[in-house]
Amino acid sequence: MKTEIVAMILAGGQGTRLGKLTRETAKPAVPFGGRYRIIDFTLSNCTNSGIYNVGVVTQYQPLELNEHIGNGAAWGLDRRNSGVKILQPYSSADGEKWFRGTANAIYQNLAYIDSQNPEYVLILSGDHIYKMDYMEMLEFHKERNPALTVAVIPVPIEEASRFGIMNTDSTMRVIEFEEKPKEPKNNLASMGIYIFNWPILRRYLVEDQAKARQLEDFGKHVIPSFLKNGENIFAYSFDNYWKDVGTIESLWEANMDFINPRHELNIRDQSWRIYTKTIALPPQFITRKAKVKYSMLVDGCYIAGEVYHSILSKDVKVGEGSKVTNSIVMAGATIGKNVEVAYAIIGENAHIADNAQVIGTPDSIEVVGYSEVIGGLKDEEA
Amino acid sequence: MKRHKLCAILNLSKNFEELKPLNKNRPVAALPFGCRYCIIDFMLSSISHAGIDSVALFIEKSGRSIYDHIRSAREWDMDSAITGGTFTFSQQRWKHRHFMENNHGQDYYGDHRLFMKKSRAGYVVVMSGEYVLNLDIDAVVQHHFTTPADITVVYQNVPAEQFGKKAHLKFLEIDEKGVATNLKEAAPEDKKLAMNTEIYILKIDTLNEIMDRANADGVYADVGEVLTAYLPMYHVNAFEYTGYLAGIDSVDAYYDRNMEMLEEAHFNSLFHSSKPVITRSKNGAPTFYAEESEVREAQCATGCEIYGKVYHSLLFRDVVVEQDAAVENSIIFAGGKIGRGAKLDYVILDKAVTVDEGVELCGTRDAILVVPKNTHVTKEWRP
Repeated sequence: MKTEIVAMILAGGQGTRLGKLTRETAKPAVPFGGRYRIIDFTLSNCTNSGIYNVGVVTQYQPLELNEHIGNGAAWGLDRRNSGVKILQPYSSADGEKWFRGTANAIYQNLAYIDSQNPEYVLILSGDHIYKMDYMEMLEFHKERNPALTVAVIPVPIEEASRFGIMNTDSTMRVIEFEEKPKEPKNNLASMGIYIFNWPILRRYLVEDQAKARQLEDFGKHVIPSFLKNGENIFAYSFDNYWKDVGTIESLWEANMDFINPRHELNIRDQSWRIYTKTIALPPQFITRKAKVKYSMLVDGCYIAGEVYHSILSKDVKVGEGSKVTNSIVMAGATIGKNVEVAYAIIGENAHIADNAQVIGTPDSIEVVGYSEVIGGLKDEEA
Repeated sequence: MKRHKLCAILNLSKNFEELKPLNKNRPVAALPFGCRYCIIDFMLSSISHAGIDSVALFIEKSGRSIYDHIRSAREWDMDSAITGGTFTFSQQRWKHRHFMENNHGQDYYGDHRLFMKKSRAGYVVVMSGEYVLNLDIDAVVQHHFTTPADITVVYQNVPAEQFGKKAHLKFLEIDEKGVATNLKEAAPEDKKLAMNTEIYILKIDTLNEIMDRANADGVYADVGEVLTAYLPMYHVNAFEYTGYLAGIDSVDAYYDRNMEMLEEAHFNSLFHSSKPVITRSKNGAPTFYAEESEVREAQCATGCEIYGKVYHSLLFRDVVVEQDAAVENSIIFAGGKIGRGAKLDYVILDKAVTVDEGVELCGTRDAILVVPKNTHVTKEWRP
């Protein structure tokens, strides 16, 4: 059976700079915005774009991610002849095969893509928060029919040296690619979203394996190799909200921005809904003494204290006399009585005992790890 | 057939005049409850936790609202490709009339028999669709096997003054051995009475026999009523259910039982037992509480946006309370939009009601104002 397009979501990244939050889970599985995980945005984009053949390539700490994605039903990806497939590294007669880079991860999953027999392959990253109609990008690609279309986003020129920059001509044809250029000539940053004509990419990857085995990474190896061989590459410009929450501070900041009901992502837009795996929990319970201001809460929360400028995920308890400000509290965390939490990220199922304090600053967000327990001992001793 | 396997029959065909207009176009079991649930969720969850995967739903009129909610019943693990499933038998009122006109004297209970036979179960649990509860059906089954009887009936002790007030309630007389019969008359000194919840566990063979008798006697009704009527002919054991139970049979009961969810003891006994209540999730965005909002003693589902005041009230999904609006002592169903400066007190807004800016809607503690589904409440609007 012929498939027009297969999406491959690269979800193996560790996200080292997220510290405690990615010690035991992959970055795409990191919670965001109260009830989502980062990968929900990419998966929902696939569903909303009408792409139902989706491979999720995992490698680093995949347990939570596998559990979350399951059979893909939450995103409508549990279909008869298509749906989501989780692709993990495997060993074979050739030995163990850890993925050595983004392009290598695709090469190692040649069998999956071949089984779908697509015309195009859409390469996505599971690390970014954005809403995008991939079909519009595919239309762009089909009109020009290059070997590769790269999605790009304009960034402030003074920040361009942190990104992979595409230098284009007036028709958006890519003439040069510079990874983190010291003196950027352009401000169009690669979003790590690629549409390849599959037969071309396949030929490059297979031929390289027979020879030099150098094509490990799309940015570092595949794009330069395409350019060197005169393959056509176009840049597809995207200028809506797009965020790479690579660090604790950027994750915190992106969440704080997300509280705003006029946020660009427009999470309440029924025509482009973000789906996630959920379990049913009782409603949010705000007691007589509680105060909740400029915050977002989801199911199962029980609030007896005060919550300001914060995002609370499911099943979070805030005890009497406690105050949570400018913070993210992840699912299942309990905050005891008379606790103060400010400028912090509280990990899933963490416990902040009565009278404890977790206080960071806007420049140095305090992080409590998953299932970590803070305080409590002093009270028992006393 | 697995001898100890159970299937379930839910009777959703009861209707109550006192629930109007909330029950217009929907069975009681399809009424929303507790901000994000449907009354049927509580029964389906109890059934699901007991590992039952075959459920028959007998519905008085249209089943649309029930189908829309449960779909494949995946959430309750009833969509296995191998066995089980939810089987709906709607338009029972019409079928009853048709039967009386055309098929009188034949088997009225063919649907029940076919469902039970195909379920490959040996036992059946029968429940009535107007109850909110969190029942451990395994415990009732255990009781049924350890104290053998033809039928086990589930009851709850309730204050005696309820007897007489609500004519449809049935009570049981239970002796010291736990054997139950229908109560003929309450003694004046009784403080508590054993209310029959119309939850029964029995062998499928026994139910078939009871349906045979009903056919022979010309009794054509829902099987819950039939079971209640034929109890005296069988050895019946009683199981006391001490958990949360709310019978939703009037607007007052609907209001009071929802509002008492704001009392933690009730809330916890219904929702925080070891058996969580399962419902269909709808991917709502988190609820937004604005800087100028004031929310106290309230429960909210997801998808809401609150800019105004909400006191002692329940908000279902996707409700918007605009600036300077005040919602007090009220229940707002999904999709309600409360305009700027509007005031609501002691009202129930059915689904997707829009209240214009500055409108005041006030019921009282004794006369809750119910605004029907999809109403646009302008300043000129009158109940």
